Amino acid sequence: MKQKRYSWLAGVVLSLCLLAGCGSSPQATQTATTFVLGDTTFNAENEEPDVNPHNAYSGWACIRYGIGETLFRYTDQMELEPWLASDYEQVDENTWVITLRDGVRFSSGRAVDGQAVKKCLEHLVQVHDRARADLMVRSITAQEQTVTVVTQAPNPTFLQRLCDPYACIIDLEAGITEEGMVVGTGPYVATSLVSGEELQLVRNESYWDGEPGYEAVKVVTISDGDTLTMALQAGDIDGAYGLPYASYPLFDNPDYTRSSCATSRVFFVTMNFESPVVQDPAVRKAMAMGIDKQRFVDTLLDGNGYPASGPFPQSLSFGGDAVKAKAYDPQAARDLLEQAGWVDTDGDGIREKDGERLTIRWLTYPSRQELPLLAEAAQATLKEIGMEVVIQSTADHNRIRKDTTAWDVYASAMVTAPTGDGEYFFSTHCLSTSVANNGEYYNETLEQLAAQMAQTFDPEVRGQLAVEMSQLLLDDDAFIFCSHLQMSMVTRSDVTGLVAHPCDFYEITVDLAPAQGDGV
Amino acid sequence: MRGYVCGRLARLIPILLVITFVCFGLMRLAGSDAVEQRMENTGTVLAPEVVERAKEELGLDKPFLTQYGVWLWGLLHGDMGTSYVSGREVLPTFLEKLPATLGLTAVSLFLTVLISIPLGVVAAVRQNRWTDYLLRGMSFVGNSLPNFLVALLLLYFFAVRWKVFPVMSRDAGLGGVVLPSLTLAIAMSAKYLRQVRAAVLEELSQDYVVGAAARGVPFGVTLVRSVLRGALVPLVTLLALSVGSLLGGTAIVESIFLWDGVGKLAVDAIQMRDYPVILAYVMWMSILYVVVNLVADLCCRAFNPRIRLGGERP
Repeated sequence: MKQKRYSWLAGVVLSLCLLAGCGSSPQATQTATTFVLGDTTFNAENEEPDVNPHNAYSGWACIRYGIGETLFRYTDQMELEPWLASDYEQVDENTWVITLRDGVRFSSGRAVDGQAVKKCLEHLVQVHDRARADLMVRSITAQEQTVTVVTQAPNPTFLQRLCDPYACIIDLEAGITEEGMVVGTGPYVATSLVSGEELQLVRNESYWDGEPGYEAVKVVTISDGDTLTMALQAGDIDGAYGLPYASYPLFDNPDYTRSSCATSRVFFVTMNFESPVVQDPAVRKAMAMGIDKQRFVDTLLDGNGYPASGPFPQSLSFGGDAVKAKAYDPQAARDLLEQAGWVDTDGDGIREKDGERLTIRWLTYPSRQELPLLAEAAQATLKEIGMEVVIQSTADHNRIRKDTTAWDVYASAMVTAPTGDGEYFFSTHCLSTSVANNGEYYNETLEQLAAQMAQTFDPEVRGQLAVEMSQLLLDDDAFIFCSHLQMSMVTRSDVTGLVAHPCDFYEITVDLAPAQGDGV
Repeated sequence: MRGYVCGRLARLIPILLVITFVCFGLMRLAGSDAVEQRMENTGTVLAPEVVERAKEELGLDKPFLTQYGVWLWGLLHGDMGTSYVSGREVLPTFLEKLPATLGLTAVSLFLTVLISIPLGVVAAVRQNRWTDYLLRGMSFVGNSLPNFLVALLLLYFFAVRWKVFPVMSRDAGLGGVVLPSLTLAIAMSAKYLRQVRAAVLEELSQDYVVGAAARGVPFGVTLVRSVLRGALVPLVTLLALSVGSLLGGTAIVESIFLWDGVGKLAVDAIQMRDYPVILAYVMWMSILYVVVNLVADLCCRAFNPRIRLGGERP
């Protein structure tokens, strides 16, 4: 009788065990010759529905996962160096002659020559709005291993634009599959793709720059941060990109390797120069001195960021300490406000002037997890200097920010130097003609320097101009640059070569390999 | 009976019209749109003319009523539109995700019934004894734990610690369905355990149970053949509601276990303001609830012939 009573329970347990057996165990999905990467960003929501560089931002997936390569690339110091190109010459302001590296082949076997590159770039500017606007191509001609590009106007950042993932050189004769797979020159070849789920790659046996370390690579899209964490802990994946900040300490042990670097994605505050309270220079300066960036990074970001001085990170020659931002100094901020007439007359901790309370309407949005945290951090530290911050964190910020009567400061995030050059940030955010000059900021000197930069080809001079322009923004307290995003990747310790790069373009390269002793 | 079923289904048309219109309006009130969301995700700034062109391509530049009219016209012609995000047709995308959700629903319900009915009956039969207290206590805990926490706990123990199941369910064949369905079943079982207990207790207090015992009918026979049958009627309605919500997908569980069903599709669509996908989901949910409730009513009628549906005569 007792046996009968428990027989159904045994049946359930047995069924669960059988079901467990039907699943592939973590170890079974991967061998020493396959690398599995979990990534939170490879999906249509991030405009990366596939790996076709001529589609939206899919070029990021193409270059990150080792399928495509560009004519030029960035070094770890964000300097340009030839990649599929071997050399270049600027004949005049509008004409660039690029010499291609000999012996490079697409994974289809076709040689990478002038005609292949010409066809690829022509298709790119034909179908890709952003590339067309960036590259400003008038004509392309090809001769054996050289390509000559004539631009419609002087384009000082032309070579940097060729480092953008959209400029991956692909074999258009081999075509683009219905799923959005392409044939490139990289160390791995895409074999199957399910958008938003997974990408399968195999080693490019005829790769031109060495032997790729793994026979196969699988990229799995895991949008949930906790699942990504546990997948890495359980051994379902060998490496992870986009782990939640809180998960990193779990991997700070010898079983895992973590590679981090600062990117040019910055979390920053834009002052609204149409707002009466923000027009007061003392208020702007006090805010710049009243936000504790270091504490924000250490506490709220769990150390996963870098306090920012200006718009660009330390990895760029014109970023980091090249400019001087106001240090956190609450006492100086209090004194400054006091001198400017902002005094707490009613003893409630918030200052007033001419009967007006010192209240800052802080507009931001929740889709970047750091931004609401930044708002709360600023609210706390600015209160210490007698400033009240009213936070409006809304998905509707794009509509509200156009109404300059509705907010005083706007906190947002952006990639300030996607091509390793400073012009993009200034031209989009700081000039009278900028599309995202939300705070209606204007500085005549800045306008002149920007015009000068648009005509300057020498990278060194451009860097100096970027420093000068950044300093102007800081001196005017037109923006407060709070922190740079730290990009990290974690791998199991038996993997080498997955290294974070400041431009965030390069992940799976020929250097990715099993650690010594786990050879293929 | 046929008239009753047809009448209930016909009521779907005004329901769908009102719900989709309200949903369309609410999406506008939420602010932002697919073009702006995409720009935000990539962290770049596009020229206004590029943004405007993108909106024009998607028809987002048109007035609200025109956009709704265009969508409705397409629907009447069997076209549910194209996703603003993936660029794929909505209907095939939706149908592609449906089997995963159906599978998860079926297994979750099976586990729920498997867990809640026996335990509910045991709790009722052993009323006010330690077994009853223990089971009721467990149901309190099960009800209190949010799904995402149960999911993470199951993953931590079964996948990370003991490595019985994989973390990524979608690649794991049949074994992959265990943890997500168990997550859903735990919460539902906790709820149904108490419902089963209450229904069985009510039936046990009926005179026929005492009469059956007096006539020497074994308690087990009365329990299975009479008590359970009577107790099932209210449970069917509750289960029907659960089927509705399960078939609508459970976004959190689907996201955590990488279970690619319609719930995750809907949440992604809402985040990205992908209106055609959201509307398809809303329609699916509306149809689902009407049909499932209809089926539940018919089942109740079958279980208890005294129940009359609509204008049915005795």
